[in-house]
Amino acid sequence: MLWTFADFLSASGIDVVETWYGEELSEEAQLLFDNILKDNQKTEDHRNWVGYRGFPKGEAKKYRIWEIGFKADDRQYRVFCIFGGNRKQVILLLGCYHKGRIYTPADAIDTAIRYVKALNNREATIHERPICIDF
Amino acid sequence: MKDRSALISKLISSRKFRESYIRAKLSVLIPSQIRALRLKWPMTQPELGHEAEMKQSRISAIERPGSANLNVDTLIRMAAALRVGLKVELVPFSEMLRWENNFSQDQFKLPKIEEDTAFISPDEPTADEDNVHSRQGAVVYAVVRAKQPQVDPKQFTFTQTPLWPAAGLAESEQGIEGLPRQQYR
Repeated sequence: MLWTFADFLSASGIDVVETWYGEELSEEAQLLFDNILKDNQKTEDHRNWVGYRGFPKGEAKKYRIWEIGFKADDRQYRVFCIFGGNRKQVILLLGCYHKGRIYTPADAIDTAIRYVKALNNREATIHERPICIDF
Repeated sequence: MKDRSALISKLISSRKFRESYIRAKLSVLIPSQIRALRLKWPMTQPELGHEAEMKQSRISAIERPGSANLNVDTLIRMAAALRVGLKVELVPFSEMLRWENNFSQDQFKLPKIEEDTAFISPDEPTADEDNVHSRQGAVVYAVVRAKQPQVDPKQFTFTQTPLWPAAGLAESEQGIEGLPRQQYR
């Protein structure tokens, strides 16, 4: 059974991850992100995933938020994730980039926590992110 | 870029896009292979760094998608430290994609040089074909070799150790699942 990935969908229906993907990432970064998900969906233990970075320090850990990281466009990108309610399901909360200890946008962790709370309170939903197989 | 025909058109028309496309594939597949073997052996990042005469931070970067600008020499050092060979080969796009689609970190299993009976004792009977085909990364190579026309070896003026079919692949191998993961992260 493969892992599945779902994007956080705000109450107003905005797919935050897809917006970040489309507006912030270069074409190469998009391809890289696609490939990371494609490769990782086949790896049983998420801790063995390429790009898996575990829990960031601070309050995010309390909410079981963890990170996938990759480098593209001379930036260290981070995608905040949590596990979904279904087996082998990951919810992608938002993407940002990271330098030193600074996330950009600066409130990225707070926003991710807010999204988790919204999901817990059923004020937001998710929708499955297709993993593209090129051929 | 999720539409297949648009993807193909762009790949055909733009060299720069082909570069990005290939780089994005290898930026995941290479770290994934290195990480899989390191965890399987098992080795910590500092241990692999020690073997390869690199800092742990460099190993960490190599295992992170897109983080390390890997050149062939770095790959050679990685392969040598992991006790496996290295094949860098120009292939058709279709073959690269088949490799990617078939690759799975969990299924990626290679014998270390000292366990590689096809290399050490090429005259001994090899492992059965199912075992050969169970090895990710070898599948494509097996298919390609099988499709090549048979060539009379006398046509060659050099001799070559028969490295294929590979053997000794799966007898004592354990999956990554069996490892004490926390220790090797």
